[in-house]
Amino acid sequence: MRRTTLGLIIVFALIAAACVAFGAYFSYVTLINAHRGVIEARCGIAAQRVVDVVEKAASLGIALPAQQTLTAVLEREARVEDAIRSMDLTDEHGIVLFSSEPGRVGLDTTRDTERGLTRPVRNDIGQSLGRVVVRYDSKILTDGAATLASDLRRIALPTLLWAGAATLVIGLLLAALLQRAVRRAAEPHLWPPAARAALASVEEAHRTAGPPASGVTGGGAA
Amino acid sequence: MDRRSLLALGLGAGAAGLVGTVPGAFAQTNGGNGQPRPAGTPAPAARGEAFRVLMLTFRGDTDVERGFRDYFAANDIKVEFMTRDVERDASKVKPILAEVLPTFRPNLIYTYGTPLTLGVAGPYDAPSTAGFVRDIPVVFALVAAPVQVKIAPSLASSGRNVTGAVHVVPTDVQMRAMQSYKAFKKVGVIYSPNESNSVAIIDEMKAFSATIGAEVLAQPLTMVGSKPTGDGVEDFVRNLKAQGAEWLYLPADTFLATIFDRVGPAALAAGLPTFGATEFFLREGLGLVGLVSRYYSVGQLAASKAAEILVQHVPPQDIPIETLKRFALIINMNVAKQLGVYPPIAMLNYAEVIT
Amino acid sequence: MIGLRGGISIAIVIILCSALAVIGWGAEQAAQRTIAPEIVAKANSVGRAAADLVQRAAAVGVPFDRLVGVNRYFDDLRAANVEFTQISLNAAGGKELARSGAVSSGGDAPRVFVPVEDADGHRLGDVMIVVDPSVVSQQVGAVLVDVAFIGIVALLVALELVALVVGTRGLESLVAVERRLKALKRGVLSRQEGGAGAAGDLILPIDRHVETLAGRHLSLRAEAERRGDAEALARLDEIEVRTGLGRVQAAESEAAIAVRPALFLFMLAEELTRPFLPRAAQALGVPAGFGPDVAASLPIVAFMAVVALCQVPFASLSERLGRRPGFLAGAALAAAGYVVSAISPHYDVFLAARVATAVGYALVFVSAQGHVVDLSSGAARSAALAVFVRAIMVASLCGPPIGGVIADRLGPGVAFATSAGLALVALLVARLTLPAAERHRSVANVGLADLKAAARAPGLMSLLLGCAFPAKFLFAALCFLLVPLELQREGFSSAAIGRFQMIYPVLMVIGVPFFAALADRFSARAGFVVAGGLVSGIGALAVLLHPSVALIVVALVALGWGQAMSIASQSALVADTATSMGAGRAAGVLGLFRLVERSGNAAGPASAGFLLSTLGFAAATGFLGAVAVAGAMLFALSGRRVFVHHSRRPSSAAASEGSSA
Repeated sequence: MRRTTLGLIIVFALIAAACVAFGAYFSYVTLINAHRGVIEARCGIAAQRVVDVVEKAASLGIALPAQQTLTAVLEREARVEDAIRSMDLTDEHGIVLFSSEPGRVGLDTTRDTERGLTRPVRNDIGQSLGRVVVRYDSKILTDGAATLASDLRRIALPTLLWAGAATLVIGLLLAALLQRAVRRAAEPHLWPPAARAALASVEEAHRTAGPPASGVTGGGAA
Repeated sequence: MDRRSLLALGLGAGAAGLVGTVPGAFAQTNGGNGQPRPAGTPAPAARGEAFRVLMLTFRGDTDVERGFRDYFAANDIKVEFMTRDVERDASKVKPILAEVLPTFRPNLIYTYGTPLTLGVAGPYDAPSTAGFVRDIPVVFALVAAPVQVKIAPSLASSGRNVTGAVHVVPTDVQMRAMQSYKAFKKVGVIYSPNESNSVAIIDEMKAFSATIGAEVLAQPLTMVGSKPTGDGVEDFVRNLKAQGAEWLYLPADTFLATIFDRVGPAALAAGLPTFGATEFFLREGLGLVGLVSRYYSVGQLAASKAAEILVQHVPPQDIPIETLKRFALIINMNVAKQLGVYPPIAMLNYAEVIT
Repeated sequence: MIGLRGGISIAIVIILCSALAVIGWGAEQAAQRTIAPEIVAKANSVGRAAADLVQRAAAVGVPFDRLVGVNRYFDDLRAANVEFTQISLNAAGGKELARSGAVSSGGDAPRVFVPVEDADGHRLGDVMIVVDPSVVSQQVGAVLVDVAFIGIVALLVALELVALVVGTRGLESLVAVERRLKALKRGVLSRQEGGAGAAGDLILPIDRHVETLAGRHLSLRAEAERRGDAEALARLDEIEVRTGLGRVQAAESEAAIAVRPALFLFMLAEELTRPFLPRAAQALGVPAGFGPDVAASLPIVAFMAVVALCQVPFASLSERLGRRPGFLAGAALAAAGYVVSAISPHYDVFLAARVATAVGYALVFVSAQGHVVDLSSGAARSAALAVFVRAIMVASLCGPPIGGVIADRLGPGVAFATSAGLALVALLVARLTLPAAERHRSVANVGLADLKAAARAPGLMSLLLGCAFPAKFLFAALCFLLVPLELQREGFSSAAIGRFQMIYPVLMVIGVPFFAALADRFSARAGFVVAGGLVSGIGALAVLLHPSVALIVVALVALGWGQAMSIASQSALVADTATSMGAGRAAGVLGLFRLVERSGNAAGPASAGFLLSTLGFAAATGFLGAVAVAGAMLFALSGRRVFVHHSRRPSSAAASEGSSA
């Protein structure tokens, strides 16, 4: 029974620790997503402005390759956000037509390995004309993730250990109480009050019910 | 086997890389010239040749034609265009077709506007002896109401060798644009009661207004016999304002378009904001705001349907007649200033402003 | 006294919640450090975009003080960027021209100002954005609430499976010890049935005392009887009733303990599907001729109907097959059904898969119940069935929130796959724990004739039709269909819906023993049945007042409360009727009871689907509530007096499946 109790307590302590670990991990993931969401939203605002310009021009019949002023627009938008490394306008196959970085013209963005943010450009008949592709500094993301991870680890590890330990301690305490209760239960005069009262009333009933000669005294074991 | 499926078979065979024409398949055209010509013309693209497209324009080249041609260029589809202009006279269609069809042998005919489209393809219920083009796909652009003028029984399918692009913005989309510029409970509208298209629009306006709890004040133009006149149109505008109209809506009504120069100033004088269904009204007729289709984009939409027919061999009756996915909002800022009715700033994100 | 298991569970819940609160605080700190500056930068970008637009308006000639729709535009911006508490446009003189969001009084919230200039570069005013980075912390908080629920549910699961983890023998001894201590604490001196297992040394002294007392009691009683001492006999009887002396308290039977983990896992598999099943059915595309609400209800209705119909025939089938093979076959069939549900792209296939699962479910249920009934008798059977019911209740408590979280984060397909996995694990556990060879006992099969005979029992039909049927009717309609669909419409996630679905089983678990004891003390079972029906019905009617989430909660609480009030008494009344009918017909009465309950389970979602599409949520719920109220009234008027003077079998011992199917 001692082994059972111990096994039980350990299982419970593990559950508690696992829950804390899960909680910390899920919090981390949520924060990371929020962090990326904020940065991408920022880049997205700039990208959307470019999309609006391109789509308006397209509906007036200015073909994408002919929109020579776009380079200036892209440069301006890319400068506004310091997180943006480059901003490209690609055709529907992902080939860069204009870019804030002149060297990227003609590159295939589908081969870009870094994280990017894209916004589709469509014409009035719903066809895709191309994409605005924003490459942002992934260091911002990784730095943020690292900071978040270390911050959370610093708080989560002690909490996790504490939760596990507290469960163990309380479990052992309860087990000890149980042991004590079992020990006391072996001795009727140490029984809980309700049991003692019941015992007393039984004794009383037995004494009065039995023949006067054979009165029973004491509650000792046989 | 009818001629159309023979033609389709011929195109299909050509695309599959089979050499030669369908043997012995000669058929009479209904082009009215009575000349026999081979129906199973193989698709030129398969032989590295350009498709031949006959473009019939109504008033010379417009943005529509530009969009139409640009589409093929942008998609690397080789097309040889022959453009003929009827100089605003639809009766010239027949002679042009008689002259061009036997020599140019187009794979597809493009038509601009309702009169031309009807001149080439006729109404769908015309007898087969009426001499309209039947065996060459017809793609139209800039027809406002193809169902009402019987180009097609429904927008989903013409049921024949015809499809195309509609330039009219759906009424409920226009109403929503009007609503977001300035909310209304009463909207006035002036129309020609003899134009079934306009009557249909009034019904659509009423249906939309019912959903937002608004009321439509519909004012028909005065009729003299079976023709509408502009008599008293200024009074109509003032009356609508007096009845509490917050907007004056001007539908794509053929006759109304001829008296925009009277309606616009009257509305301005009465302090009534106007919403027009055509770009012309905004630029020339002192309209405040309108939601219109870009002609360039309408041309592109028509071209996308032509490309489906030529390259993917989809029969025209299987290609729905459509309007654009997105429209242009045009605001005449000078009128806005005079009326003191300014657009909500979010609209400036997507509106084109005339100053 | 709270046992070791109970005590440690409460301790873990407290520890867990405080630990997660600490994590939440840590996440908030981390967010402040890393994310808040990024949000301020984003506010700058948004502010610049807004200022650009205002400048454009000024450029095309809209006077700066007559800008239109700025509030609306700012509202839209705030809707798209929840971390902005306030956006305003102020003129150069300081006058506020437009604002979205309440004025933030706190001076410490970060705020950005972006100037608006006219074409000549003169400053017209500013766009100001006030940022509230705590929005991110709130997202973290929501995640932690999810985790806390998962943790507590994991704990309940662990408690159920603890027998598997630490071994049945070990657990038995712990249970034996705790039972004796608990009895003493309550002043009960009855003998405890059941083997001591490994804890023999610990409990032997206790048992010996009780045995001695009982022995003496017996001999004194015999003595008094011999003497004809009526007074002494009465006194001895009185003390017997008061302290339980000389009586035997039934232990949780081995049979029930053996089947419990497997049954629990299997039931959990089905309960997982509750929060997302209607949505998953709708997502498959509504078949022609059905409304979306009917399409959502049909898989539930089919499932419940099949379970109800299979109940009677499967009783003999599982006996012929043997309980263990019956359980295994049922679990395998159900698992296959879950797999097909997970991958089915078509509504029809999905429906067929649900029917297959239902057949498996019915077979498992009947086999498990048969196993318990076969291997127990007398008072021990009631106790064993109570254990059995508790496993089902805990499964219905744990399943929905877990299923909801899985469906939200990984999709309904994965959730169905999880159910399949659980059913397979249940199969394996059953293979290991259920005895292969069984004692052959002929249990009378329940046939149609028995059901017919049972239906003639006095008052029984008014109890079944007035209370048992409407109770299940309302429960299945509300918990399985109406509430998930309505909450989904309100935009709640599956995880949240699962939490709402926990309300009912929680109240049942707490309420049933409480009300059973109360009903026994006041000898007012019929009264409790009627009151329970009225409470649950009126709760559902309350939704008519003003359909809202708060009133949905009220309806669920009233339902749980009302059912807890009536269910134990219902079962006891039925059991009494069964006893009074004589041994031969008892099975028929119980069979009829189950059949009627299950028909309610099937009819509920069916009517709800139809009512939802024709009347809407509030009216449908109200209607179902009215049915429950009317049923209770019917029973009160016609059947109640039949039951007034019935036996004193303790209600708590009468097992009912309580919650699910």
